[in-house]
Amino acid sequence: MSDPMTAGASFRVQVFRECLSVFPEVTFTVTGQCMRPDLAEGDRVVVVGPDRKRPRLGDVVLTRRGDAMRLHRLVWKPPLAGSRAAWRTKADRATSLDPALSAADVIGTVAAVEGRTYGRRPGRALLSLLEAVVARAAHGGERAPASP
Amino acid sequence: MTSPSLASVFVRSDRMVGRQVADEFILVPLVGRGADVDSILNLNRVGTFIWEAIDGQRDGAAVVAALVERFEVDHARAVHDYLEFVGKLVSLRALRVVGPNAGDKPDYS
Repeated sequence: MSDPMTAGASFRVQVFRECLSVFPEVTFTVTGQCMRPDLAEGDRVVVVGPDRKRPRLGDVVLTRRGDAMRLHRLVWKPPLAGSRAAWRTKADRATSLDPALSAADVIGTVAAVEGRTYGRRPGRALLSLLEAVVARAAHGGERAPASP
Repeated sequence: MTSPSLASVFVRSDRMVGRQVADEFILVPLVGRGADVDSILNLNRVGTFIWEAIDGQRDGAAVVAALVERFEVDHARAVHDYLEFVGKLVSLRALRVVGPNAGDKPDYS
């Protein structure tokens, strides 16, 4: 008759969007270790929607890609508002960037972590971007991602 | 408190909000200034009916009677489902008893 939300991932995305449109913030528990040490598995994060907090470089943002959601750092966004150029995110512990996304794929921004101090880290975003560029160069990969 | 009974009257807690999302009905617990997405409950049609029927005035017997009429389920099954569901919501503090027999033992008649 009632279950913890076990419905499909697509529905889960809808629920997040609905909650962020109705409530000032949503709270949930982080899974995975890809954002350590800033965010660790089990941390409870408070996320606010893009209407309440405009994502900025260095923020950890909740994004969707298909039916999947993830919390990764925003390392590139177009300098001009309204631009249709791609946004880029990256897990702090990954060497490569996530696939390009649009502003509409950004569901919200982490505003706080329960129980400790948390803040945006633009320096970490630049470092992350540099890591990805170096990794691609080292592997003779595609064009550097700094200009997506 | 003890398990809920058919004589108990419940009211929905202010810390739980019902929302329709797509074709689903969910209960969203509130925490701080927002929603606790970890603990969202997804209700089926019967659960949604019971949730919406709980108004702080009708007792369990009245809700069960409405359940039987709406879903054409037998009375014993409706009582079982109602008490189980309400018990779960009480344990989650989504409901609270407002009377008249908040301390009664379970009534599975």
